[in-house]
Amino acid sequence: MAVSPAQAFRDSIAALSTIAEAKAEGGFGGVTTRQFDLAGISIGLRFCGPALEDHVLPAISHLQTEPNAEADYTITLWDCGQLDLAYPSAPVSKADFTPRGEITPLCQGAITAAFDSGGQAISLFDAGSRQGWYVVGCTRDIPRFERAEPMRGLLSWILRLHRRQFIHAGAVGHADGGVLLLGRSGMGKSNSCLSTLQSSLLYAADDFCAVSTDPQPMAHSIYCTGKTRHSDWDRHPFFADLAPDLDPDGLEKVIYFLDRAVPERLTSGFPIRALLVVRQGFDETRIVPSGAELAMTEIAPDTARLLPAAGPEVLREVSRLVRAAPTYTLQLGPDPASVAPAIEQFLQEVRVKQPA
Amino acid sequence: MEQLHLQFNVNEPDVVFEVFDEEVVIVNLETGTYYSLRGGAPAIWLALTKGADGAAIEQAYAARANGADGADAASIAAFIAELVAERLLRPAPDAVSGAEFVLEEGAGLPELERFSEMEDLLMLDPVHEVDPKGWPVAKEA
Repeated sequence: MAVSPAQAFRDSIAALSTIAEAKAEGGFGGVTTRQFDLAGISIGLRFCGPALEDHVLPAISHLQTEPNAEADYTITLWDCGQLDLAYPSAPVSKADFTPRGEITPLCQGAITAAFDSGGQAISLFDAGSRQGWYVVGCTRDIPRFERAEPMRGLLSWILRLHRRQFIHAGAVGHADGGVLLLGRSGMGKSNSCLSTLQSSLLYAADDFCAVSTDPQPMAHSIYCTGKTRHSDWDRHPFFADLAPDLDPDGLEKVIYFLDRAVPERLTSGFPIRALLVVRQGFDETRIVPSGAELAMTEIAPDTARLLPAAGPEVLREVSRLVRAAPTYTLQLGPDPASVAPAIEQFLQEVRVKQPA
Repeated sequence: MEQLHLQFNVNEPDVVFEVFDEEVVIVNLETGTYYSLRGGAPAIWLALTKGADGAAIEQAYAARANGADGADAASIAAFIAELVAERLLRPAPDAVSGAEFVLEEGAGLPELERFSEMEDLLMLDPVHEVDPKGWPVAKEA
């Protein structure tokens, strides 16, 4: 029986990973394995050489666990340049690459593949063997902002098998319940989430998290990072204390690696009590009821756009979410310090109405 | 219009939709466009997806107007044509007529709102250049 292009590519990358491991062991920094709990799924990362460690690890360090059992999934990572390995050739034509990143003929059956030209990053996942591979040409060429949310596509493919859906949302709350913050870029979602770090609220995400709805809606932290413009420090001076990583060229957003600055304020997740659609331009900060369709249109299109190989499961899981948790609008007033108290008061009122 | 005398199928797998109380949200995963249907549109959409005849829907609105005003029927025709033009539905000329369409008392005219922010990113940016190994080249910032 003829092997499909997806299977052939998978087999070739798997063969390359064997070579990469041998190269790494043979004097290029060795092979390091770390294990992480992402939304209850155990994922092992095998770094063939250290080049990608600093790119990937800081954003998910808060979820690292002791490797006391075999991981549910294993992702092998290497930098071809660092290991002095030839970069694989593309097995498809240029028409097969989508702007979102997936490689259409290589997304077949249990196999999913995507390519990001920044850093020449190949993401490949085989659900059948529970293996993934992340191969780059040169780590230094990966866009700086990717360090805030590394391997977003690959991780989303693993989690969706377990009905944990990556969504474009922030998440803050307490151990017994919190809220998702929804909104397009520029709506104030990240600033609102990060502003709560000076309150008793715990932080799970500012831009991407995973959600599940069975048996109850849950937010799961994936990345312990945040991103804002440098100019936002005028309204939030304490952002300067959040282990900021500034763009040397001053063009891109500041990235905060919060595990380094405020590890005690981070949480792996919580039950979702409500969805807050963020809107700016109001005379004071308040939270008012809204319709589920508003949350739907805030989450689903952006999520589908930003995740390679995202499919109908996005709409299906998001619709489950918006039916499981009520939607409100977080109307932002001029005082940035008013967001956390508004959310805290809201959660207190919800706690009274819906005892856990 | 010719297509009013046809049944239609949802343009799967690219088109997915969800029904809320008074609204239907449709996402075209291929184009990156999403749509909000309100007013009389959700009921029309659901009827069409279950095999109702477009002409029957038009006639229901025309009968309500009792011939006094053809605008209602014309707007139904235009709405269905737009659903086809947007590739949300495709004609199914061989389909057997399915669900009946019952025009609810007080049902409004169909309202369709289109959101195309995703479209610019998903559709209109094909890969133009590849490197010697066949991989897309990063665009200039």
